[in-house]
Amino acid sequence: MRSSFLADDTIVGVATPSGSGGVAIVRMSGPSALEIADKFIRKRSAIWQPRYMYLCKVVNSQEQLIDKVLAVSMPSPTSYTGENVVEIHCHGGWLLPRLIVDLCVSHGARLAEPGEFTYRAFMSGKMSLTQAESVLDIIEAKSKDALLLATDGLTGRLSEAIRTLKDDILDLIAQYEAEIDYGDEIMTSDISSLVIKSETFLETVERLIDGAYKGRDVIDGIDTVLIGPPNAGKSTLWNALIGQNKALVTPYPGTTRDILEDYVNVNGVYLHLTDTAGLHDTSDPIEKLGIERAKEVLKNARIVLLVLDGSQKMSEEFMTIFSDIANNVRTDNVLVILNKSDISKTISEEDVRRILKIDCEICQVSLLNKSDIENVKENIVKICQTDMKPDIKPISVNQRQLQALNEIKESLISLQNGAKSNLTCDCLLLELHECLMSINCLTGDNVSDDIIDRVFSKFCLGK
Amino acid sequence: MTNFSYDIIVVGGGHAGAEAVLACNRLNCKVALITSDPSKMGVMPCNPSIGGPAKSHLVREIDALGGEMGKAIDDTFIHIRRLNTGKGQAVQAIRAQADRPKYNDRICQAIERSENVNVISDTVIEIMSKNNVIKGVKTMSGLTLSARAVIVCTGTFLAGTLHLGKLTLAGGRSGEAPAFGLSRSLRNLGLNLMRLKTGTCPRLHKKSIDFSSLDVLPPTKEPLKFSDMSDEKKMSYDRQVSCYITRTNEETRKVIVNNLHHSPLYDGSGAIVGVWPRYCPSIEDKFVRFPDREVHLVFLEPEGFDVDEVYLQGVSTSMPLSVQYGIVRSLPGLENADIIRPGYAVEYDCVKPDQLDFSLGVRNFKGLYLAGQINGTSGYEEAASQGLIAAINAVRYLDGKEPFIVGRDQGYVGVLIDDLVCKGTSEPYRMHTSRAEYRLLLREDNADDRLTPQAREMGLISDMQWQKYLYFKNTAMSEINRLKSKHLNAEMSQTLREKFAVNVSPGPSYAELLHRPDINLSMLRQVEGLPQLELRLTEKIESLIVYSGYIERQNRDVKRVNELKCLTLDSDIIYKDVIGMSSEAVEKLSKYRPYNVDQASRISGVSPSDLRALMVYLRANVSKNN
Repeated sequence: MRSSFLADDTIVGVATPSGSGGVAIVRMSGPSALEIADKFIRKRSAIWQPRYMYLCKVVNSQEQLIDKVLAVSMPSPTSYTGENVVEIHCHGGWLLPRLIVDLCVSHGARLAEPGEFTYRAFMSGKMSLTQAESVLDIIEAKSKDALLLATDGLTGRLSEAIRTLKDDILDLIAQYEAEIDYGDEIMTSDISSLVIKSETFLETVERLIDGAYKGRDVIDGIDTVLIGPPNAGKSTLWNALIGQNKALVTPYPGTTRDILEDYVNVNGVYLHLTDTAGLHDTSDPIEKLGIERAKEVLKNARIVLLVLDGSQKMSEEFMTIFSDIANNVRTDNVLVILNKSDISKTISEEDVRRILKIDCEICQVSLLNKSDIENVKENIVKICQTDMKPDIKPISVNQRQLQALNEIKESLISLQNGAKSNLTCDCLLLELHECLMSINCLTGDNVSDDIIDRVFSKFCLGK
Repeated sequence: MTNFSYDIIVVGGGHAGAEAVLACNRLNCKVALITSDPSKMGVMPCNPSIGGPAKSHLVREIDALGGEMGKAIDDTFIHIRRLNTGKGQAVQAIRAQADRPKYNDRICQAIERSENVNVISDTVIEIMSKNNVIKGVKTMSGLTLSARAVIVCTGTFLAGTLHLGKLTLAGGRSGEAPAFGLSRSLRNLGLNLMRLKTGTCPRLHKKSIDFSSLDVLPPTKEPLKFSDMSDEKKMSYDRQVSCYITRTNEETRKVIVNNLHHSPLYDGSGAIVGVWPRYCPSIEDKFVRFPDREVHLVFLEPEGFDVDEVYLQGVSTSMPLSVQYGIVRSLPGLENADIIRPGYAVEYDCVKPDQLDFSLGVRNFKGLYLAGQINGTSGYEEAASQGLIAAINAVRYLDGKEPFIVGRDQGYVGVLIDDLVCKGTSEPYRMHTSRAEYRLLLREDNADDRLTPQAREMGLISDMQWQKYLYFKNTAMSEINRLKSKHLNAEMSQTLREKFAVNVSPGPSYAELLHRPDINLSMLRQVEGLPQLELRLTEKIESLIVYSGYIERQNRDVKRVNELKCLTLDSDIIYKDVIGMSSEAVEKLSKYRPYNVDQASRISGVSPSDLRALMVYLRANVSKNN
């Protein structure tokens, strides 16, 4: 049992439906809600006046601005859950609420389970008896969620892999338990084999996590980001890919100030496309905000489409900014689109590689030319396919399952470290049991006597 | 008819009964011990050994609660050995071979010397109660004894049946009559009984064994002991004897497989209905269930310094004597061995333990306590620890005090009782370390820290034991503080390197150094020129330092669970009214009736979402009642 049945921790979740809407609400509930909020929310007033809306900034660990938001606190007991609650009203869409949830988690909050806010509301007496049934529906949904694992085609793979992993872990536990309780009857096994075994387990789980991300690609689209200096043609490319004039295209640099996002099917590959503000140093505070946000977006990007104006020399300014953000970009996933080849080819492909110090695919095009657009699309598909790790099969998981997978991974790493540092059997068993617990957390199983059953079915023990 | 009056009556003088009367004596209760043969108190009918993983932990807990078992085995062992070395101090254990007759004498003496104990040679046939309040017992010879509390520790004697091949005898132990009337009396009180079974091995004449060809299992050369109260200087470390190992072979297999039709287990007669424990399989079971395994180990354990009998550990069987001879003589070294007493199986009645509460009292009864095999357990240590707890609680009941309950994080005995009460058992229950989820907290070295302060408060600990406890505790603490504050300097690290060939450099604290597997406390003290601490203290200090991180992790779990413990469940909850609970959980919870949500969470078949549903129900009822 990982999550507590009693509210001793602080939970966080996006309260509004994901994806659509101009504004989203991230809700945090629990004793440390205010404390956690203070870690990344910057506002003028030092105090949180209850039920008062503050205009404030959300910053990341480097104090960089992520979003301007409205935040409100509702201290216990006068809140929905009856606990301390902080609600952050941020810009909507797919990415920003997620970034803010991640910030809360990194400062000590836990991802809420389905129905948990309502559950807490009920437990602290904020709801009547008649409302209890609806709470239970949600709680039951959670176990159905675990059930789905076994029935759904895509997740069937996850379920099978996890069952095998659980079986292997149980075998190991049975082996070590038997060695301890019947030490003079069976041979002590070599701990060094555990190092190798845990390595195999880790590989399995990492593949599952890769598969989970791939599964999310199928559902959420591959995160693809357009960047480049102002007026290089990002919005033109955007419109060519999306097929409608969503982005405002003008000959003036800096027209795209906010982040645009949309989903698009490019030759059979589903992309979650994000357009950023043109990258240039500017004193305009609103545009500055856009650039900071672009940097955040880049961190999560799987494919980066860098649009450059091939008819002009690259500005010093752009090169500085690019080297600043280059750390956030995986160069093997960058496609450079050297635009405006119809005007002139002032920059060559070699120039790009030399100046930006990246080794990547480059296509020299004119985005006004239809066949050139097709060329770009094919290149995008090519990158996606190499990035897709063809041997990894997609699995469909929700946020909770993905978190559980990551917890299994953490516990396996801890096990491996223990095995490497020659921990004694009693401590290694604690690590193994933690692995088992995190697996049970994913499958919804309960630990029972089956370890002792296994010990006796595997070994002939007892004098 | 004469009427005798006692505070407490203990029925049975085995390991549970012995600890029970001795605890009553320490607590100044007037107690009668009724047993059919007073010379058999504390006898070891099965293997002549005490300890082993989880079991030695239990003995240390008995000692920490002021009990007798540890002191008795320290006084009478003929061989003592450390098990699980290198697997971690939490699971390290000791096991001792007892001098069987001496151990038996030692327990008899302890009881006979007890001022408040009256031993009566008789058989109890009825437990008397009125409106579920205990009044006393009636015996076979017509005595009526009155008492406000009765502790029943009947072992394998309740309607005991012995099996030897086709031969079936009524008996509690080899050569001893069973107790029949009491089963009926317990049923009349409304208790559900079940049938369990266990078995024992043939005993051989020492002189008929050729030890020269066998592997030797020597004792450990350390001053090991179970009780803090025992004096190493008076113990028989120098006189110890060895145990021996032999192995089954193809001939053994042939004898067993060809004679399966003679085994009451496999002859299809259904003569034995009781459930045999998986951890104590008969030799025929081993060959049937694990046909691929070519060799099974057989241990030869002497039963005393001056005893001719040798126990053949690993050859528990209920085959006829002729087949037992075939099996024994197929084993290397035993080609000419003679059997003194054959092995046999014993079936007996016990009470389904889920009818108990955590004090080992029978639910809905006042003053009726059960301890030992009658609760479905197996093993001397399991029985003794229950006898002690049952006695403490019987006395507390008489004094109108809250029961003494050991938590799962406080002792193996707590795990044992909690498992019995929450889950019941379908086979004789043996303690395993794997049953304890807080294994790293339940070490041999800290049994006193876990239990002695409470035991002292209850009046179970002598001044001498209390002084010893305080000495260990305070010395350990000050040494740990010293080790934390002292850092390795250049000179010391040089000496360590030279003396022990370990690769160290100056800087870390001594406590940090102890985390390394190649450095121990006695090395550090030697380099510092300090005298060595006694083994007991060294172990305590080392494990507190080495396990500190893990102890913290387990303590966090304990804290979380303790919160669930505070959520109590009334005995009249109608679980099928709990919305959203699975039918399996409804059935299990209605059957076991846990006292709190923590216990509910440990019942198999109760899932986390069932618990959430339960908590919503609890919450709803609170608001309804307000």
